[in-house]
Amino acid sequence: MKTSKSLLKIYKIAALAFLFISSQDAGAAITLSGDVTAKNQTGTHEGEVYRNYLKADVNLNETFENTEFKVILRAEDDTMRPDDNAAYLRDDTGSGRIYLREAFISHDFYFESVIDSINIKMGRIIYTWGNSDEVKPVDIINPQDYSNLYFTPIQDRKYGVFSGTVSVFFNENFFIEAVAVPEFNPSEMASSVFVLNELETLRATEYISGGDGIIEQNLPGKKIRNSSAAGRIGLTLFDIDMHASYYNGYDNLPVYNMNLTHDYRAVYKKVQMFGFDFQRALFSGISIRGEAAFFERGKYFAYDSAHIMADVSTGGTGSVEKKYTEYTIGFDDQDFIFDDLYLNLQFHQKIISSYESGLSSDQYTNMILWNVKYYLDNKKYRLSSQGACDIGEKSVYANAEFMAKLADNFEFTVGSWILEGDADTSIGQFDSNDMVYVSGKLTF
Amino acid sequence: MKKLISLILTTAFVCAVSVTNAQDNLTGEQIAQRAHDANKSATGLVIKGTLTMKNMASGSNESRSAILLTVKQDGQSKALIRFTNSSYSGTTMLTIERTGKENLQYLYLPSVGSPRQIEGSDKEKNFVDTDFSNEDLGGSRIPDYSYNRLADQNFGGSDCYVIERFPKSSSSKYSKHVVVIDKASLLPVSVQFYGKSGRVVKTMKASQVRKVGNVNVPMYLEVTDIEKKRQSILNVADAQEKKVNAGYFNRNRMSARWAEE
Repeated sequence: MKTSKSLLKIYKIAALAFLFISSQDAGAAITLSGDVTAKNQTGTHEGEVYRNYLKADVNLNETFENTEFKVILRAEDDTMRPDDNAAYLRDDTGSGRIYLREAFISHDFYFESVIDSINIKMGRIIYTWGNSDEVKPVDIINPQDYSNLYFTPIQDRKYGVFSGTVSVFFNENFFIEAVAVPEFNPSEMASSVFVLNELETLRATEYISGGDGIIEQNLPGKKIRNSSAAGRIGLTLFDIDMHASYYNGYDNLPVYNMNLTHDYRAVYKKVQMFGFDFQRALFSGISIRGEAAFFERGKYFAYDSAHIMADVSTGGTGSVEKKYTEYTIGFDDQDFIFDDLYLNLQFHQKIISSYESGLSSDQYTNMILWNVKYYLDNKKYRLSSQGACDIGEKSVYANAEFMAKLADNFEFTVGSWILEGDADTSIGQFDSNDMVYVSGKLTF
Repeated sequence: MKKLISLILTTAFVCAVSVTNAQDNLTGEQIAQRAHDANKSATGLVIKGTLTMKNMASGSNESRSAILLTVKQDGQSKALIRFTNSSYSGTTMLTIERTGKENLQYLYLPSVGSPRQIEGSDKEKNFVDTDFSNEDLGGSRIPDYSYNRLADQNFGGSDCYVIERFPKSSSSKYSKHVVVIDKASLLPVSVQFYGKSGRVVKTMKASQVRKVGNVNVPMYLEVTDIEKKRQSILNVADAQEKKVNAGYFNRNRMSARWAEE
């Protein structure tokens, strides 16, 4: 009942939006674009995954001289999103929802002096920092929707954050940027299928009060002092595009704290991150790119089951703060071996400094990530595979996909995801979530 | 006797060609340089049009809208091209010309969210799924070729220079290009691309030249890939010489919408 009401709400708002646009088309000349995606994911293991996903993004965009506004309205109908278990949600439980994914006003001041231009932007903004693909250690400003794990591309996973930005462009090779984020929204962990081992363990334990499996979360208070701030400097030197970045603000993923009174809580910590990223085109169509993030504070790591109670009994929270480094480096080749074969290979490493035994995470996590695409018939068809292999844990997730562009604005896709590894590994815990999927995407 | 006549005629022809070429005393490289420097606006040029891709074998067509912004600053050209509809909407390419160096080229895909630097040898690769190469869209450099001037021609009723240019890069997929340049407008009106086999594998034709402000703009541009039996046609609907914000030509601004769209 609730679902049908939500759907009705989606259709009403969409209809009103279209009416508004159509009545404005000639006069205001607001650009209307977007896409509609329909997807079914079906598990190959009985009962593990079943998801029908319908999404519509409506983009409104217009520029008046040097001022631009942009709005992305997203409507979703997702059977994977549960109606209950609000503790892990962003106050929008239920399978249907409509929200402003991105909406901002941007204004440019142009000069003919030592500064080329200054751009100010305010609103709900999606940032793209860093130069690597998909696994991006410095791209941490926006919360993300992990309800489909990493199977949704990172640009599509992001939620816009309410923020303000000032960018000063001195020339095409040098700029500085400052960002203030006076709100906090956690990343979305809600999922009826992809439940982390850590959460499963906590839910199963006798320490969960009431035994309802719900873990409360402590969100930062809505105060200006709880704002996050970030900045970066961009420079092109010897044809290397690089950025140095800084972030001082809340981590969008929680740390799970426990105490002797049997109170489990998801807590969001303030992190301080120093980042660096670069890209450079080399030769024969090969480009290298990478990014690294050093977390000087705010990254916590849980103890394993054999050590967690010892920590709690001495007044600890079951996790410990460590300095932490994460980086991704790799290359891509547009025409690898032969024309129209795209190869992207990346190495990703996580390092916990001052490591101590008893932590549930390894000191080093080493992963190889790949993305291979082969285009046929002038990009009308595409065969592709992407995935990651954890070298240490010997676990892997991999995808194979076929895409057919049936029209210039319509893509049809079929594919599968396979996850393999031991049950106690970060990927292997989802071993039973292998799936096949079919989707259609219409762009307008 | 026949041989003698043939020799005389050949000599006369070569002399005539030499005289024709000597009239303006320009070498192939100088003509290429003139054409390269011409028709660029220091104010800015905004071109809007429709790009149609034809599959000549199946007869299927696809059309999409595109906008091109160019400006010449400090003697160097900068160009931006963007698709404004279809599934490629927002896909943008930036070319920045640099003295004595390879041009810098970036491709911005909305699905990636940040610009990707394009490697120099990618210049001959096609822009997205069109038959226009990255080089056709502003990535061409004079030092990348050696030149030879051929006899002038009358092409479509206009006096034209004809030059051959040979790629210096051994990895080029072409052995040479034969370029016909209209003397009046200094626009290349025809280019034939020869493959390694010595056969013409691709052609480009420009026509309906119109004076826009101080520059000449071809309102019709056609590229035919003979081997793949495909054709891309750019029909220019609107071209204006007007001030374009220099700030647009920055890799970090490639996602921003332009007032000219």
